[in-house]
Amino acid sequence: MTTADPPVGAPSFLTEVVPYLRRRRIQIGVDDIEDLRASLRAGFGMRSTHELRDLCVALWAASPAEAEIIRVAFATLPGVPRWQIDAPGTGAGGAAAATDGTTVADEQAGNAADDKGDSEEEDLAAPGKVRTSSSGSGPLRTGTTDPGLLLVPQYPLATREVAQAWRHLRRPVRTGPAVELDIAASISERARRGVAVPPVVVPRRRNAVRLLLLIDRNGSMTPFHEYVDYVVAAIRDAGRIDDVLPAYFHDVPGSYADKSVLGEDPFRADVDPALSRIGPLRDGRVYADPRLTEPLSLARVLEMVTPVTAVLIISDGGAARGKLDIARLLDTVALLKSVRASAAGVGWLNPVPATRWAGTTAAAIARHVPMYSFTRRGLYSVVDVLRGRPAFVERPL
Amino acid sequence: MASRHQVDLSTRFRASDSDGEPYLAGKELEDAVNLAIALGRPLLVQGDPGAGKTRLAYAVADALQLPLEEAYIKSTSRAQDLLYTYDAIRRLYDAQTPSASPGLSGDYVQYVQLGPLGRAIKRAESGERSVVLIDEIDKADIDFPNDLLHELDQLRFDIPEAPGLGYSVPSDKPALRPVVIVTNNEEKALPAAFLRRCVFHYIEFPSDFGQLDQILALHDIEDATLRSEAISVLRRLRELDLAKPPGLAELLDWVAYLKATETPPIGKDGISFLGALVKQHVDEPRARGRMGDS
Repeated sequence: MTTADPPVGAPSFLTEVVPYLRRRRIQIGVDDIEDLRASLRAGFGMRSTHELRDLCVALWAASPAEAEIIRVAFATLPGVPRWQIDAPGTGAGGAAAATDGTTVADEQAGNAADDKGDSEEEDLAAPGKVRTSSSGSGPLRTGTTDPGLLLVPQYPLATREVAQAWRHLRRPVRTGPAVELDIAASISERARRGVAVPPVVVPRRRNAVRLLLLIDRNGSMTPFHEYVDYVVAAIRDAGRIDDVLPAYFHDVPGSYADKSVLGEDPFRADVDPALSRIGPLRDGRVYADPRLTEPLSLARVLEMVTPVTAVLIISDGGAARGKLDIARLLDTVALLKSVRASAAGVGWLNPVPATRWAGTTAAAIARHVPMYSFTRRGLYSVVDVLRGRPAFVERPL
Repeated sequence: MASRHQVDLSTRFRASDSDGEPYLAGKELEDAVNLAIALGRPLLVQGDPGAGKTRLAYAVADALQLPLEEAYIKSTSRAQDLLYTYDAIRRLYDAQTPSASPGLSGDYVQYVQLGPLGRAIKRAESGERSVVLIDEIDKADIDFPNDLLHELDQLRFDIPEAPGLGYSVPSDKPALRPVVIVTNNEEKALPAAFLRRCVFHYIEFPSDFGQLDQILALHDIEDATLRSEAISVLRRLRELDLAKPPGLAELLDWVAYLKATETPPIGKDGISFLGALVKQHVDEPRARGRMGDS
C-alpha cells in the first residue's frame, strides 16, 4: 500500500478525495496532484495515513477551514488507504506526533476498525487535556472528537469571490501626500522650459468610494443573518472601499406618513399613479448594530450620503412571506427616493431566490430599483449598478 | 516551466539545529518547512498572534546557516518594492545637471536598489541560498500577492527602468531557490492563485503541558515550579474565552519578568503583572475575578 513509485496514473484514493474536495470548492488541479506525487516520491507522507493527510493539508489547504475539510475527507472517505509504519526515529521531532503506543490496524482491516483506530489515538492524546480542564466551567466533555464531523460553515459564496466582485467598485482619486513621480509631466515640463525644473510629484491613487449598507434584520430575514453577516464582512475585508457604513432596520426604516397617495382602490397592486407625488422618507430610524439596539436617525445617516456613496439595500422585500404589502411598497419607494437624491448608485440584493419574487412586494419593488438575488452573478450585477451603470427597470423613480 | 516539479532534498530543516534563539517546532511544522524547501514553494504560515510565525523564519535561517532577508509588509507596500525600487527622482535631478555626474549615459544601476526578494534572487545567481521572510502579507493591498505570482514561481525578474538588468535563480539548480516564508494574519482573503502555490501550515497553540514546559525551559526558565504554575495560570486564562487570549509571546514575556523579579505567578492580589498577559480592558475584570476564586 505504500505506493513507493506510483505507476502511470494517480493513486486510486485520489479519484475519491479530489472530487470530494472540488465539490467543497477546494479546486485541486492537475498541478496540485503533480505536486503530491513529487512529494510522495521524495518520501513525504509515506509513514502513515496521518502523514499523508498532513501532506495533503500542507499542499492543498489555504486556510484552517480548508484544512478541516481535507482532514474530514481523509477521516470519512472509505477509499483512503490506512496504514502505519513505525519508524524508529520519530520521537525526535516533538511530543505532538508521538502516538507510538497505538497499534494501528493493518492496511487490510475493515474501515470500521480503522475509524476506531483513529478515535483511539484521539483518546490517547486527550486525557491530559480532559483532566486539567474538568475543574473549569462549561459542559462536560467526553474527551473524544469525531474526526468525521465537518463543523466549518460553508456558504454559497467564498470570501474571495465576494471580494473579487466588490473590487470593481472603485473611484480612484489622488489624495494624500504627493509622493509619486509623474514622469510624463516632469519630462514635458523640462522640455517646455528648457531648464532644470523640480520634478512633478502627485499623490497616490486611492479608492474614494463609500458604501452605505442598509440591511434588513429579523422576521423573514432571520434565516439569512449568518450569510448576510458573512458577505458584509467579506465586503469590508476586501479592503478597497474607503468607508463601509452598515445600518440595520426591520422591514422598512420608517413609514411614509401620507397614505392618501395610495388612492381609493384598495386592490391596486402598485403605486404607479402616485409615483411622482411620493416624497422622500425623512423621519425614519435605523440601527448601528445588527441587534437593533443603538438607534440612529435615518436623516443623520442620509446626510452622510454623498455623490461618491453607493447605497446597497439587503432585504427580502417581503418575498420570503410571499405576500404583497402595498404599505411596505410605499414606504420602500419613499426610502429609495430619499437615498437616490444624493447617492452615486442604489442597488438591492435579495437573499430569496428570484423565482419566489413573483406576486410579492419584492417584485413590485424590483420594478423601481435594480434588484438581484444573492449569487455570484447577482453580486457582479449589483456592483455594476453601484458603479453607475444604468440598469433597466420598468418604472424608474 | 522546467523547474516546476523539481524536488530538492539536499537541505533539511531541524529546529534543534538552530543555535541562535531557541525555537521548538512540532514535527508537523518541521515537515511543512521541509516540504516547502523541497518543492521550492513559499511556506504560508498562519496562527494566532504570538504563536511564533515570524520567529520561524529566524529559526530556519539559523538552522540552515543561511542569510535572512526580511520584508515587513505595510499597507502601502507594493509588490515591486520586494524586488527593487527605482529612484526616478534622483535620476531626474542627475539628468538635469549633467556636469555633476559624468559617465551617466548607461549607468542606470546606481538608481536601482534591490528589495529583500530581489537580493535573495541575486544572491542565488552568485551561488548562495537565502531565507526570505514576507511578514504579514495580508496588510498589503488585495492585489499585492497576485503581483508576486510570477516572480515567486519563476524566481526571476527584470528591471524595465534599467534595460538589460535582471536577475534569476538558475532553473537547473533547485537547491539555490530561496526559502520563502510568508506569514498571514487572516485580515484579508488572499487570492486563490497565490494560495495554490504555497505550502500551508497553521501553527496551533501548544495543547499539551509538556510542550509549553519544554518551550519555557528552552527560554532559560530553570525553575520547574515557576514553569508549571505559570502554565496553569495561562491555561486557565485561555479557558475564559477572553477577547484576546494570551498567547505564547505573552507567556514568554511574563515568565521572563517573573523570573527576573522573583515574583510568584499568583500573589496576594491575584495574578502578578496581569498587564503582560491580558491586553484588553474588557478582559481584565474577568481575569481577576476568575483567579480570585482559587
